[in-house]
Amino acid sequence: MRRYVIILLLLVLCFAIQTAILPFLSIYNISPDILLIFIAAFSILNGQWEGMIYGMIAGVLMDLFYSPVFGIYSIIYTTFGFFAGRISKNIFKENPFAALFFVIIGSVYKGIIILFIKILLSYKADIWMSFLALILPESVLNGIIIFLTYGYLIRLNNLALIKKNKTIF
Amino acid sequence: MPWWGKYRDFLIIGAVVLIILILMGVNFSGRTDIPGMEFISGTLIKPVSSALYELGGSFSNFVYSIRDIGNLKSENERLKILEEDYDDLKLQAEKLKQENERLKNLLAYKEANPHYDMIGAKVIGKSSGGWFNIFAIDVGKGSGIEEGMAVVTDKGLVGTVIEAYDQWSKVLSIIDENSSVSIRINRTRDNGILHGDVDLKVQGLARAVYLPMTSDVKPGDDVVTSGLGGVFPEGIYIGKVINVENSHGDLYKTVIIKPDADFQRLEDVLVIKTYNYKIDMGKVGGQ
Repeated sequence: MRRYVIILLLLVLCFAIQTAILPFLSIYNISPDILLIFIAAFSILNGQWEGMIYGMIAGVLMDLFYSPVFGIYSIIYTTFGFFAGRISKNIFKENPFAALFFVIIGSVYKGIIILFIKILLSYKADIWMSFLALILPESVLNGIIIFLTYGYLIRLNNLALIKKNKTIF
Repeated sequence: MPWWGKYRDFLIIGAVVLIILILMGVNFSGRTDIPGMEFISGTLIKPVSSALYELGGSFSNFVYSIRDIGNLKSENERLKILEEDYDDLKLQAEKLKQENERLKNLLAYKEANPHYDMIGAKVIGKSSGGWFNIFAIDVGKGSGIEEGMAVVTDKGLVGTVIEAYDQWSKVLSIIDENSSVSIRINRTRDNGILHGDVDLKVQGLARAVYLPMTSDVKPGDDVVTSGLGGVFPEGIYIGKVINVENSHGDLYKTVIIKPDADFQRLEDVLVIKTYNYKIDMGKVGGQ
């Protein structure tokens, strides 16, 4: 139980950092998506169901505050958490390259879904411009961050304080 | 094991996605309040986000001040000269203070006929990345905020309230692609529509379209809201024209506008409260 409360608080902290501190540091509107990184790492390490739940929490938080219509980030983060956990079942989980792969695919996936929903909601969206100016740099930035921090995230996941003692998912 | 046992995981994720899609549809067709959400967003998350946003602001100031250390020597020289001017200024200040006293009385007279009722607000967070230009402010329905109200700073218009909750509200800034503001070029009195633009909003710029071909708008002209459509009050300052695009074959002129407000570092804003004057187009005779 304690484990899930701590992870929930960490998610809220990540959310607050992402929306309250990173906008000040962003250059050309590009800032890393640390929620996506967090979900990717915890989903790879703990499996699909935890990935799905964390993705859902993060997505609902983002949707409540910063999306024009509820559900955009929920869908992205929930499905990403689930599939990152599922596909990484049979790989060597401590390898940072695996995490790098999932985060880059996840960033591109997030971009494509947002673009798709924007077009669906008849927003003006310039597809090539979005790819070059938003999706590409954000993926690279997210990739660099997960590559550098994956070791620490593994250690965080294995901390005695939040170590899983029995599986409920 | 039943036939679907093999696909159980996919059925579950499919169901979850379906639920989110249904919520999305419900939310898009008409706002419904999700129970408990007000408590979570207003009571649990708002304080954390608000505190961290201030921290972010001071962190960014800190980074800028480090960059300035190199300039300290010349800064010092400059300040010494300034100090000599200071005594003169002190006298002037005394004079201005008295003048201010007089003007305040005039202002009091003007405030007897108030134009707009404004309320101050603090920005508590911003959507990250470049996808949506939405920010959250710390006043909501409890302070009389409603959807459609204009949000301004001392530099001019920054956005419009799109969703209001009890203790906070969501604001769409005018440089978002989904935002449309009816504008007027102050010198030539031409009307147009201000839209956000994907590649311009990175630089804090926006594009105004549908200006008449006969307009002689020039770079440097002031842009204000026109008040048409009844969403924003008339005459709120937005910014300056910096470029006029005039290609052959167009039916209207397009101009690039630089809003004066700094959308990257918004901290304190004002919400114009009393002006919530929506024209009922059905009664006027339109659609």
